[in-house]
Amino acid sequence: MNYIKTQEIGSFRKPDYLSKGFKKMDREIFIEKTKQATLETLDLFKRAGLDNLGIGGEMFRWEMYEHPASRVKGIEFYGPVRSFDNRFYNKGSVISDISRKESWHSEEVRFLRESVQGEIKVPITGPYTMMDWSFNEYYRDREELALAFSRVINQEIRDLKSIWGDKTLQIQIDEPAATSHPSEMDLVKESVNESISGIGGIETHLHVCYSTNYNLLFGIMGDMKIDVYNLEFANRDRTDGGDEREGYSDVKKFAEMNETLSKKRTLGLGVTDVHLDFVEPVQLIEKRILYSLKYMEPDQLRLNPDCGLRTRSREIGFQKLANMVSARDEVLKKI
Amino acid sequence: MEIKTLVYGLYPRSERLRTGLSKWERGIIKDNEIEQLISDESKLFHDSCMAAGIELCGDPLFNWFDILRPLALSIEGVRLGALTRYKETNTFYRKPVIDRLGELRDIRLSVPLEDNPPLPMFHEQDHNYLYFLPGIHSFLEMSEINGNREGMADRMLEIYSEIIKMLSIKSLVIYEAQPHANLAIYEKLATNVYLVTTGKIDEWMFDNGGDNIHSIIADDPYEVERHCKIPGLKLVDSFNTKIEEDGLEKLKRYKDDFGELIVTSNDSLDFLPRAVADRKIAIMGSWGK
Repeated sequence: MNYIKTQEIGSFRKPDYLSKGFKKMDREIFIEKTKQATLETLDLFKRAGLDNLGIGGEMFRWEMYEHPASRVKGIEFYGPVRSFDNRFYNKGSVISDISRKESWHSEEVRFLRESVQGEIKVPITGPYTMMDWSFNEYYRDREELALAFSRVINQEIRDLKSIWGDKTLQIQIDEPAATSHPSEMDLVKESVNESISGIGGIETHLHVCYSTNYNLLFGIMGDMKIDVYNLEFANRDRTDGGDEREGYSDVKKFAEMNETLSKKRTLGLGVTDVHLDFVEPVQLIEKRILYSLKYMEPDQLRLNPDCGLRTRSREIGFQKLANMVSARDEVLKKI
Repeated sequence: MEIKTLVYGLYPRSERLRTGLSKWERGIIKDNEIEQLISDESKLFHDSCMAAGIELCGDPLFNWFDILRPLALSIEGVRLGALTRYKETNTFYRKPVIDRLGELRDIRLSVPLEDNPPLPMFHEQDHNYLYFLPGIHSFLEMSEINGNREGMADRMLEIYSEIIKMLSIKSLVIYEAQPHANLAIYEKLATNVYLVTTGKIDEWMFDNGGDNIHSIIADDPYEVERHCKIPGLKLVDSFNTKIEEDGLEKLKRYKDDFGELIVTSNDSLDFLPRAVADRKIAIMGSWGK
């Protein structure tokens, strides 16, 4: 059955035995604990009923920028910078030509090849976001730097595909910064396309969340080499019993754009909010899916959380995923 | 040509202060302890600026969680809204929601604030201390306004006058983070204003006066020289870690045209790691010397 598949989007809360001292453990102990946490999370996803288990909640990674950036030659870290309030992240400075020091996801994918029978989806931070989140001391401009990241990421994806073997590998390019500079949408398109250029045997996904204007993204859809768009919606939707689905109004726009394309794209619909402990009841998620089916064909729709569930406890994360699957099952009975 | 260097706006926090604030957020240390730490760190910052040779050292605003928040929380009728991207950076601020511009609270006292370390708003170090306020145009542009905006700029100007009087401010940096501001209004403030602008300067910005502002700092000092006593230049990039090693050479281009020039950054240095901001201050200080 290829109707309304359910999928994880990326990160999931790490068990305490892994998160405590994540960056300080001995290498051997770290790998042992990481593998254990991945298996436990894959099992949790299975119990929730997910069709696509992703990569078991990104247990090998702490976050999405520093993990790859620290494995790229030509990037220096001078200290944390503020994200908001008293929250900080390590923003690297590009000081020379960038190239891979080492692969950043190979070990994870190698382990998953041994552990997972079905399909997986590997999130990888995209070139535009890597550029936007770095200081540029070296390249002529933002375009040159973004395309340099495209080349480095392309090599990484080639390695992942090679490890995965003949089966199709789903690659999810994470681009949270995609629509943050409206005048640079052509650069988003070009850099993402370059990052997957010439790689066969992959299904390509793009994940964007908390954009203030998805229309910018829909405007370049026709020229993007992307099969599936996994987007956040639940965060902007109401959670009471009301039937208005204002948070999902952009689904119609996606469908209208899709209608104009000869090769149809799939929408990964965010149906559960990762910033709320409130576990959306099955009925609410059902309403969100049924609303979206007014515009999308069932075989062009997948379901996922808005973003990584690392923000919630494992128990709440599990409940949110389980309700997402139950809602899908209820919808399938009705259509 | 005399060069005066200016450091203004939010300055990156030290590891000690970040840790302290994290403890305060979790309730491990109390309001008075974090206030003391902020005060101590502000003094250290001030001393290091003086040692580096910075002539005009602003408050580092270590208890400001963004450039609008303490002010927003000190005006009755203004509350905090959603986290919002600041310009095109990856740093976010809480968008003020303005229902009305009511009375100004006493910003000198140690007062707890919602989602922000406690007041006082400033930590004065000496009689030459430079205070800081966001531009009025920027404050309104970066807020969500419920109802009619008419008269709000005038009311904000009243509030700024009240702050100047309350703290007996002699020198004040105002940073217009948004372009297209009416700059003439700052002439009405009874203090020495160092006005840092954003974007191209147009003559309409001075339609109703504004030729007596103490200092206006722009990308191009020639655009503002006739509107102020001391023009200024934004030479240091707050959004890039590259150190401006060639800054002095660039400044030499202006030596025949200006008797005095203020040199500063294009925004708060808070967008940089602390170590880099410290290095930028050191090199700025060397230009002044």
